[in-house]
Amino acid sequence: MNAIEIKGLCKSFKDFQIDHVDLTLPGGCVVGLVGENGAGKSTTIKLILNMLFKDSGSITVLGKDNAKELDSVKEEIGVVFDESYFPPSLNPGQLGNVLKHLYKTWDDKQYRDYLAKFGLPLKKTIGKLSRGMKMKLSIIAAMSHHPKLLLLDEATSGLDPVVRDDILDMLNDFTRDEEHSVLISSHIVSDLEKICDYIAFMHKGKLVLFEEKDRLIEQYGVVHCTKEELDQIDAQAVIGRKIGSYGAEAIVLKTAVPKGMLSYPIDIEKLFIFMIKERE
Amino acid sequence: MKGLLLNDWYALKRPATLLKMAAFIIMIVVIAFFGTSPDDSTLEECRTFVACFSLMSVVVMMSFLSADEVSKWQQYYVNTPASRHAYVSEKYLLGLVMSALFSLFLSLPSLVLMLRQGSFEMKEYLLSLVLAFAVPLITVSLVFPFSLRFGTSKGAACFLIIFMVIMGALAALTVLSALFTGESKLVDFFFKTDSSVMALCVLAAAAVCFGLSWPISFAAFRHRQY
Repeated sequence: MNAIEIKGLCKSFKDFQIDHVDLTLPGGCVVGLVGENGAGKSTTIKLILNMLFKDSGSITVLGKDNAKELDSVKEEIGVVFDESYFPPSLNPGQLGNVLKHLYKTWDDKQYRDYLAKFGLPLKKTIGKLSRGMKMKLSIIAAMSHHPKLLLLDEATSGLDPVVRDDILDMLNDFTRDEEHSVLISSHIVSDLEKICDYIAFMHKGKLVLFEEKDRLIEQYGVVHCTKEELDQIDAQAVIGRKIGSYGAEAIVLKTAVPKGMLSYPIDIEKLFIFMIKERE
Repeated sequence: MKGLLLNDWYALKRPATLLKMAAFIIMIVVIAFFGTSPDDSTLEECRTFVACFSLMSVVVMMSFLSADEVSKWQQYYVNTPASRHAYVSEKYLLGLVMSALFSLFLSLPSLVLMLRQGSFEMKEYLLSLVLAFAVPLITVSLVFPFSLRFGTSKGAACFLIIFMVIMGALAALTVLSALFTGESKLVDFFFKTDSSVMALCVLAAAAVCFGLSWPISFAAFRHRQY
């Protein structure tokens, strides 16, 4: 069963719209939702969680219609936002006591073990924790009720590399269980490259690409050539280009690269930057 | 609902909150013992004091709602298995409890005045209790649906508009009745009606407002988007 299925999702605002987004999170997989600031990543996640109501389209979460039946699967969904959404006057110990009564599957022992493992003090108020500690607390809270699906919205933004690495390790542990699925949105593409199975690119409210990460890296390469050489490559095979005074750099389908021209391996970050610039 | 009550209980136990409540209680006690004079003060003045100051308990109730919004706990909460119904019910229950607690303190000036004048009347004391209990309930009943639907700042703005319209209408009624009949039935009702009748009327108004507001708030919060 797919953890999330989105079909024809539309939502309009005054100056922005989510435009016919189709996205699937296969069960047991990790999908990275990538896009520049304002691409619609957070909006899409809020639409999945029914925090915003869609104009049209369908969204199912763990097999349930998110508009009518989401409450029945909320026990199995863990959510992590871009900052701490907990009352700053509480401490982690008190937060555990509160969440224990909100989730039937709450595992208090696991929660406290995680707190000890990641060095989070039980009695220090959440308002006084550092940003990294708050994010770790958010993730611990999201994982301590044995969810099957984790939704993370810019959970690593603004964090230093060490904390980001810790958080990615936590997610890696979570995804070892094949029944666990993760949808993680970020504009820090290098984080997503480490853990994602699928990459979904969003740009100005549209989903421009949804592909397996390994296939993307296999299929596409970077070429360095002159502008004239670039013009010889099938335009459809070029998904992004940069033309400067000294030559051109482009991301192309490897099968379309002419003989004699070398293509180099890409990383997802470069792919993302080129795709966005091509569309601008 | 247990989790929500626990969350608000922890918020209440914060030293800053306890200090503010202690300051409020001390102020009431000082007014009760030093602000009333057995020779000059009247029970009508005490009723006015109760009606005005009981609005402060609304401020406390609204602060629970706005704290949830500012910390974004409300947004986190709607993603837990607990229902939006439970959130609304917990806030209304908290409103009831806070109103009851505040009414005990706010009726203190009336009690002290009556004891000092040597004319304690249970009816008058009950009227003070009822006023202190009912006025915040009526206010909360008007504010909560807007605050739960649009957020506390917009909700407060909506309430102010409604409050001004109601006060304006009452003032107009008072002036017009005084102009045409030579007497103000509204002022007479507030200051001259038998205490038990007035207490019943106010309690009935509060019960109706509260009872109607609760399901309206359910519907309002169900349609809240973030």
